[in-house]
Amino acid sequence: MLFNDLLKMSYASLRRTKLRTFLTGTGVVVGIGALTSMISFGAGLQKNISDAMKKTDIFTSIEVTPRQLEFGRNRHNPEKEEEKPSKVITDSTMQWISSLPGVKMVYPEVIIPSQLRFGEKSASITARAVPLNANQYYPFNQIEIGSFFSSDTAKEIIISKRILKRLGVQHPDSILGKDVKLVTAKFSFENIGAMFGMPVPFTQDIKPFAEEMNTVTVVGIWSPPEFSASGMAEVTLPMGTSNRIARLNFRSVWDLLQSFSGKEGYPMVHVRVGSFREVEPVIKNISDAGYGVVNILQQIDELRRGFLIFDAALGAMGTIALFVASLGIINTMVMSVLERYREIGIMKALGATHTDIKLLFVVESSVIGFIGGILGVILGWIVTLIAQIVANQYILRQGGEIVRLFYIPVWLIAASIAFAILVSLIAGLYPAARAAKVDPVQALRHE
Amino acid sequence: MNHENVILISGLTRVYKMGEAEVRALDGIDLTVARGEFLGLVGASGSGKSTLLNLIAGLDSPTSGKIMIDGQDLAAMNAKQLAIHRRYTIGMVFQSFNLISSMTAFDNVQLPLVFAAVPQAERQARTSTSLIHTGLQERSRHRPSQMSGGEQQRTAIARALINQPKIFLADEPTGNLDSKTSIEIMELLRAINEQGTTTVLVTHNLSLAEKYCTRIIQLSYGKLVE
Repeated sequence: MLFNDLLKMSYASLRRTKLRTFLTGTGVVVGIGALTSMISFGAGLQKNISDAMKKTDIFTSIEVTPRQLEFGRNRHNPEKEEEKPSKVITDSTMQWISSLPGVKMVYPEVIIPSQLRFGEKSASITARAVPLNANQYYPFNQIEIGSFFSSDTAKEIIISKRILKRLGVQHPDSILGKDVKLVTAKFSFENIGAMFGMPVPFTQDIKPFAEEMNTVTVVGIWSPPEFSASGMAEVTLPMGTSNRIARLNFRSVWDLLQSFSGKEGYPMVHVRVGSFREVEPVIKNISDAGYGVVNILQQIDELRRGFLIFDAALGAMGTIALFVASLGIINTMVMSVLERYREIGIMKALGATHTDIKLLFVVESSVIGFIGGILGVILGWIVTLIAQIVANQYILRQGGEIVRLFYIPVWLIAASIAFAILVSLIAGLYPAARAAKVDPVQALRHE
Repeated sequence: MNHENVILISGLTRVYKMGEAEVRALDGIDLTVARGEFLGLVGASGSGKSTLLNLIAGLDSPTSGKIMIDGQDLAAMNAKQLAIHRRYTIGMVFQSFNLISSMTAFDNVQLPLVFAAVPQAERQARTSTSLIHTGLQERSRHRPSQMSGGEQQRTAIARALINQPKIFLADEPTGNLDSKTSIEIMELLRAINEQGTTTVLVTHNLSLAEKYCTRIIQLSYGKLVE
């Protein structure tokens, strides 16, 4: 039989029993509607989270440290934790990382504990140095007022609005282009000498440190994101400029000991990769070379598994509804076989094979699934639309922002219809087998 | 093998089990039908006429014995081959017409071509020709319930002939028709036979058989009666 004829005969047969087909189909529509709306809720949740994450730099940023970090691997048995020798991150390491495919930017972690002074006001801050090409990437491409640095050695800074408030600046525009003082701490060799008995002015307190005053111009103002892989950047200055500012070149006692032991290197390096698809090979390369690597992708697998379980739970509820609908299909098709007992006999007498008869019934139940699937997706869409409106009204009343709770991707539409057809087809197999077994002699005698 | 005998039956027995009891519907039948013959099978109800016809058509299988149709042993055929045998070699009509009530005359007639996967254009042409030959061109869009008994039987005949079968089996084709319509149908069967189609007519009406058939055999309690 030609497929076209199978479809025509199935459709004609279903039209003959309109009410029964409608009722049976309604079961599929409700089942698929439930399945689609539930999975779309899971998909919506997943999309909201992943969209929010993709907007940031957390997927494409990698932090490289000298020591391999064994996050969680031996947390149940810390005694077995192996101490791996730490590597030194030098300029040549950074050059090598830069040469890896997909790597766009590599820069060392340079943070300078300092004080910012503007007029009479001052604020303790941690300045962060970034390279000049950082302005191409999130979050450094988010400068709200002014611009990025004019050069890598320009005496310029970018300040967050929060720090401006602390400096008593009411209108951010008013400070743009003005000079501020960046005060850093440095070793004072004079004072250190005095500590060891060398001559010093007698009135002076003896401390190993001294202040250094740096005049810098505010060129940009922004609100850095609180959650960023690039770290907090309340005050940012060019990398070249940071190298010229005298400062205590250690963040912790560990860094200090490291420098004394002659193993001087960068404590941490930031690596930015073009797209998150390129992250994994870069991580592997750096990790294989013996460096420590931190990236969100290492944690994301667990998140994916979580979503999968959540989707499966929602899908299972919809599938139960569809299973009930499939029982309706079996019932309808068995009834149809009984009603068309004589007709099946006639068809066999005219040369229909077992396969022809089976196909007639399987296609008929699949047509119920196909039409039920399409209408079910539409029902699911309407349900999500209503739920979305109701939920958002509640969220707005609570003072929240409108969110898109449901998401029906194309794959979900296709998969729902395909699933409806598949379930209906399976439901049609038993009645079809019964129809194929009909004895034509008995059937032709049947009144 | 004598191909002039298009039907060759030997020792054919068909036993039905009705609970503990056995019913011998056919009991050791030997029969040959020559190509182009118009054979009349007469006998009382329950004599085994329809059973014999069903066995020739491959709708039923014998308990023992052999049926050769156009040189092919039906016992050696699987279910699919038997379906194809019914589709192309056999054309069959019944007392109760056996039309599908939800289909038009046109759709009923083209049904064997649908199972034969004949393309739609060819199917339409052949169905229209068949309906014209049986005088039903005006009734092609009518359903069986909208047609007279004679028209329904002519539709069934058109359907049986659509694949140009070698053997035409008619099981009491006039059983539900008045005498005038019966004669019209019998004239149609004669015309079919005269075109070379071997015809086997099952009837309890001996006079009708004597008028149209070239040979008559009688069945009684599952056996041939000379």
